[in-house]
Amino acid sequence: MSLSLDPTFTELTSDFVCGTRDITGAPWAGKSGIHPIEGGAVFTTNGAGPHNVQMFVLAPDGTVLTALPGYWNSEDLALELDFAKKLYQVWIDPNLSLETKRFKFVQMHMQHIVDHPAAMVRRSQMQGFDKKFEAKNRPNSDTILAKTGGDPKFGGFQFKTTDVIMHERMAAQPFVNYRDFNVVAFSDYGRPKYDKKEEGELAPPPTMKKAKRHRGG
Amino acid sequence: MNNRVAEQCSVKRVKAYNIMRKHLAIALALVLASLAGAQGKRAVAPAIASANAIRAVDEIHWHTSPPEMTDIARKEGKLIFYVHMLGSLSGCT
Repeated sequence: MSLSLDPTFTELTSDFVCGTRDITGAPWAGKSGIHPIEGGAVFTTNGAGPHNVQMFVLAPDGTVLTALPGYWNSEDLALELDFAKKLYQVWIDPNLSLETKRFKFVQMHMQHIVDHPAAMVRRSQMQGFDKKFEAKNRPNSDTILAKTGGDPKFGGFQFKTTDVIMHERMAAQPFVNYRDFNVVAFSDYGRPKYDKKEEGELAPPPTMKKAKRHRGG
Repeated sequence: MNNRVAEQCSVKRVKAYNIMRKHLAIALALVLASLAGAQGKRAVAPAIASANAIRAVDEIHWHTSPPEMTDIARKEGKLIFYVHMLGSLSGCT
């Protein structure tokens, strides 16, 4: 959804070469319900569904400039696309050593967290079921901001927002080529399977039989 | 006579292409909104999701070959936007 809306759409059509990869069966890929093509859709929070979708911005030589796990709002995605262009200027700067480039990469990713608009931060709350999963299964996860002071239903933990998690994890892999990029370390948080009830009340869900037929199952 | 048959075949091919394109588009919409979606969020009517997705699929050329993407990016001096998705554009996600 966010790809077809401006400002992202205009950015993608004018400044990027676009590609897709089916990650079904990949070690980091999650599971999902069946989504037939007649189905509806939902707007959701930034970073929702990190195992199912990952978006990368690469330099022409395959160097990962930035990446985003899961769904992202169009405005927020556009902001990150612009940020990637700035990182690319660092990457191709002939006056900088590789070490300096990597240092700047880390610095810029961490600074971008601070620069995120308040609306983006509000849109970046981790899903409740992902918080529950992290609290129960990964009490030492890097997604946890503090172990006290949070909602009791999430073990009392306070969680970082997904826009923070994304940049912190990117900063751990400065200017790495796509073939060497650790997708698991980058995208693994929350439940691997989602039950999002995205049909809402707008469309009746198709029968499972019909859905499976679409999938060839 | 032959011309008329050829014309009818051509119309059928265009219709089939349009249907296939629509299906691809809807699947793309589901990739980032439905597949990554979560509980209790604003729902989007299928017709709207479909229209948005058709735009994305029609007007953005989606490559599936990484070498092809990098070649074009080098030639055109562009960055690459590469989406990992669970499923494919040509069917259910």
